Formats: sequence, C-alpha cells, structure tokens
Amino acid sequence: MTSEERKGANEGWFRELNERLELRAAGRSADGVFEIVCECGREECTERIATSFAEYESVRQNPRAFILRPGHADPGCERVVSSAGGYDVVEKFGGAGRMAEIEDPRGDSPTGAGSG
Amino acid sequence: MSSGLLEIGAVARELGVAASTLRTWERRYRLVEPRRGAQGQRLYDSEQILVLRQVLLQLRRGNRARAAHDLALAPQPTGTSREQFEPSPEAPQRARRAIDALLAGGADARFGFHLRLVASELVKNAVLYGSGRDPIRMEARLFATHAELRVQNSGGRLSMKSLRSRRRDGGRGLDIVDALAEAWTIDTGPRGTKITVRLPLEPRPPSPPAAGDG
Repeated sequence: MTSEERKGANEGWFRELNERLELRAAGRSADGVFEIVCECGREECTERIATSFAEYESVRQNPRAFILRPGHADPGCERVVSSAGGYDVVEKFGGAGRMAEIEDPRGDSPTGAGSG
Repeated sequence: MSSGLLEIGAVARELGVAASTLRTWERRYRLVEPRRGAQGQRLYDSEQILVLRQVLLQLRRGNRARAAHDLALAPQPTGTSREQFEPSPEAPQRARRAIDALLAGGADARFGFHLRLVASELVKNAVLYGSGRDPIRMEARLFATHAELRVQNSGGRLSMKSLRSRRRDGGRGLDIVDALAEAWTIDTGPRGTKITVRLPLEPRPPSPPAAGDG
C-alpha cells in the first residue's frame, strides 16, 4: 500500500468509525450533538469534532465528502467546500474521490455496503 | 486406511504417545472421538490430530490430563506483546509501535488500524487518568479471529460519570473502544484501572448501544 493509498484508507476507516459513533450516540444525545473523529488521512489524528446529527447526515449524503479539523485537508486530493462550527467539510476529487465512493459504507458496492 | 485419515497406531507414533493412552483419553474426556473404518478401526482426521497436539502441549506445560483437554480447546494466541510505558505524552505513539511490531505487517490493514487506534486511546486514557508516576502496562494477544488487548494503570478509582462527561481530553476514547470492540470490560478500584478489549478481525456490524451500556 502506497502512502497515498494508506491515507485514503485511513480516511475511509475513520468514516466507518464515525458511522458507528453516530449510531451509538443516537437516542442518547440530549442536545442533538455528538462527537466524531477527524476524518483526515493521518492515522494518529484522533481529534474530536462536535457535530449535530443533521449536519453529519447532510455531509454523508455525498460519498466524496469528509469532515476534518481545520487545516487537516490534503490539497492534493481534496478541496474544502465549507467551513463552520470548528470543522471543514472537504470533497475528494480524482482517484481519491472515486475510491471514496467505492468505499462509502452507505453505498451499494460489495466493499462498501455494510462493511463498516 | 481411508484417504487423509490416520489409524491410531500412526497417530500414536506421530505424537509420541501410546495408542492405549489415546483410547483412554477418548473414553474419559470425549474430546477427540475418531470415526470408525470398515473394520471398526479408529480413524483420525487432521483436525483431531491438531487437537491432540494441543493436549500434549498443555501436558508438557504441567497441566493434568483433564485440564489439558479443557485447555486444548481454548484458542491459543498466535502472538503476544507485553509492554510498559512511562506515563508520558509519547506513550500512545509507543503503544501504536508495539502493536505494529506484534502484527509485523501480516495482519489485515483495517484490523491493524483498529487495533492501533484502540491501543493508543486506552494508553492515552491511562496517561490522563493514571497516577502519573507508575508505568502503564499493555498486553496484546493475537488469535486467529480476534485480538485481546489489556491496558492497566495504577491510580485511584475512575469515576465513569466524570469520564463520560469529559468531551475534549481523550476520556471519550471509550466511545471509540465501544464502537469497535466485540466486548470490553473495565475494572477500576482504589489501586488502579484495567481495561480489557476483545477486537474482532472482522468488524461486527454496527449496532445501536444496548440500554445502559458504555
């Protein structure tokens, strides 16, 4: 696995983890806010991001979109599309974007669906 | 002899035990019950021979015959790592490196990612909530289907309520553990805290938390 592939994989695995954290938080968050983990490519980064279920769900509608702490985006494969509430939403492009779609836990692909 | 099956004499020679011992074990413990050939002879398959090897291994470790049979069915770790870390900010990274060394590049990449993540979060918690003086102990054991990770620190009893209420300083790492682990336990008391996590090689399907867990 190249370092680029590893970073892409890390982001995908953080996204899978966040899907689990969302499910776990559902029904126990009084204020509609829960914490996820930064979905950047650095495996050692486990910085927390507080987000609402509505905002999180909105981002997850786009399989190329990831939620990162500000400044964690990799301009070589993703662009910041919005910035608010202490986090950036980035969209991946090129091969990284296609891979993000394939690996989307909510997608229909054999590697994505239900693999989280 | 049928294809792939060994008669009792061959098995006894291969394992270095008497055929009568194998018959006695079969009668007493019923752990390995070979099928029978056309003439009523015992025929052992490779799985059964593997179990018998485990029984012998447990006997060589000093266990009595019954205990050896009980232990033979318990999964054996394929690798073990025992580490001690000073309670410093570098400890989580050292935990990651120790897991890497244990996996030696041979494990599924996602499993390795999960194991490193859980190890570093637990060690981070141990640094944050431990005594700040005594070393943090980590033991990781790899099995064919899962890993078992244990992180232990000295210090006072953890308040689960206050741990849950901390949002930014790593106390929430237990959320990550809970999201990824097949099972986990926390044993906290006046002398310290021990957390044991069972992490599956294949992640379990995500599910909502059970009432009152975590």
